[in-house]
Amino acid sequence: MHPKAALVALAACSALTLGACTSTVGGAEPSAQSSSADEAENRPTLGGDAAAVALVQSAIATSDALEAVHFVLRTTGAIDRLQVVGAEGNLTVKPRTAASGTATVKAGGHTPAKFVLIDDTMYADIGGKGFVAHRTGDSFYDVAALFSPTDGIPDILRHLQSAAVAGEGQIDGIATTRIAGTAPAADIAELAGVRTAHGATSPQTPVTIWIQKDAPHHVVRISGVPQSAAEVEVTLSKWGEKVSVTAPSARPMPTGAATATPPGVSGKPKKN
Amino acid sequence: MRTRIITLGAAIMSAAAIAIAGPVPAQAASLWGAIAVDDDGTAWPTANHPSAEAAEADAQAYCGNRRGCDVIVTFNDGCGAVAWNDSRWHGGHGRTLGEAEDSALQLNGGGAIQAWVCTDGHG
Repeated sequence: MHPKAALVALAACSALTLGACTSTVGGAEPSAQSSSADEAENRPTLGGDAAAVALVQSAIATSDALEAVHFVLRTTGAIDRLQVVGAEGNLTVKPRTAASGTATVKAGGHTPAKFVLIDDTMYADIGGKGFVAHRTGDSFYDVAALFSPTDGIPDILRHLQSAAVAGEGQIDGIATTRIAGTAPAADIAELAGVRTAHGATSPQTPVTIWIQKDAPHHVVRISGVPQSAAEVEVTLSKWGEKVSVTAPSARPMPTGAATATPPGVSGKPKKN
Repeated sequence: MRTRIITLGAAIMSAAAIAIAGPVPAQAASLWGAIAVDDDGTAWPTANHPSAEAAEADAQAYCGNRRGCDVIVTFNDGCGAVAWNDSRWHGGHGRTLGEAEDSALQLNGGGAIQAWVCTDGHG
C-alpha cells in the first residue's frame, strides 16, 4: 500500500471500531474453505479504507446470493491472447449454470457468435454456420466464470487491494458508488476469457467498481486495465431475472477429407 | 529437419537474389498459430507468430510446466481447433474457423471443440 494511503486508512480506522478495519471478507460469514484457499494461495484479502471495505463486503454477500444477471462485456485496446472482444447475454448462476447471448470473436475480423450454455455444454454459432458443441470452460468464452465463487467478479472483490471510495455516478439510471482499487491484471483479463500462462505472476493493476448505492449492493460495473492501453469492462443489470435457455440443434457431423498437418511442423496430430 | 535445412537454404538464396535485383513490392508475411494440450486436457492456443517454430514454442511456454504439454495442431494463415471426446484430442486447421473445427471433429470422430484460435485477418 502507498504510504499516504496507509495513513488515510489508519486515520479511518482510528475513528471507527477495530472490527470495521479488518480486511477479512466473504460476506457476513466468510467460509472456512475460502479462507484456507486464500492462505494456500497466499493471496491478500480485501483491504482499503473502512467505508470502501464495508461497501465491498456487502457487494460480495449480494454477489454470492446472485441467481441470474444480464451482462455486457466490452474490451478496448490490444489484449494478449484475447479471442472474445465483447459479449452480451443473460447468465443464470443458480441452481444450475446456464447462459445465452451473442459474443464478438476474433475470427476473420470481428465476427458475431451466438452462444448457449446449458447442461455443461457450450454451443456456439460463429459466423452463422450453425451451432457447434464446445467443452465448457474457456473453450469458447467462460461466461460462467463471471460469477464463479473462485473466479470472476466475486473473487476480484474478495481480493481487492487499496479499496477507496472514489465518487458517485449514475449507470443506466442506477445511483452507484465508485470504488477504486487494485487487482491482479490476470483476474481482469479473465473476465474477457483470457487465461494467464501457467505459472506466470500477475502484477496489481487499477480496477474501478461501481456498486449500487442503496441496498442490495449489486455490482453494476467493473472496469480494469489488464495491460497497458487496454481495458476490460463488464456492465451488469436485471439481477435475479432468469431467462429460459434451451439447447440448440448442433450442425451435422462434417463429412469429407479433414485437413492435413502442414509440412514443417513438429506438433502431434492427436493426444490420447 | 532435412526439409527445414533445404527451406533455409532456399530462403538465403532468395534473399541474395532480392539484394541483387533491388526492392520488390511488400508482401504480407505469413502468420502461424498452434494449440497445445496438457495431460489434464487444458488447451493453450496461440496465434500470430512469424514461424511454426515460434508458434509451437509459445504454445509450450503458455502451457508452462504443465505435465504432458503437447502441441497437437500447428497452422498458418487460418485457424486451428482441437476437438475432445472421451479423453481423446485431435487438432485440425483450415482457412476458416468452420473448416478448422470440422477438421478437428472429423479426425476425432466427433465430440466437442476444446479450443480454437485464428491468425489475424483470417477465419
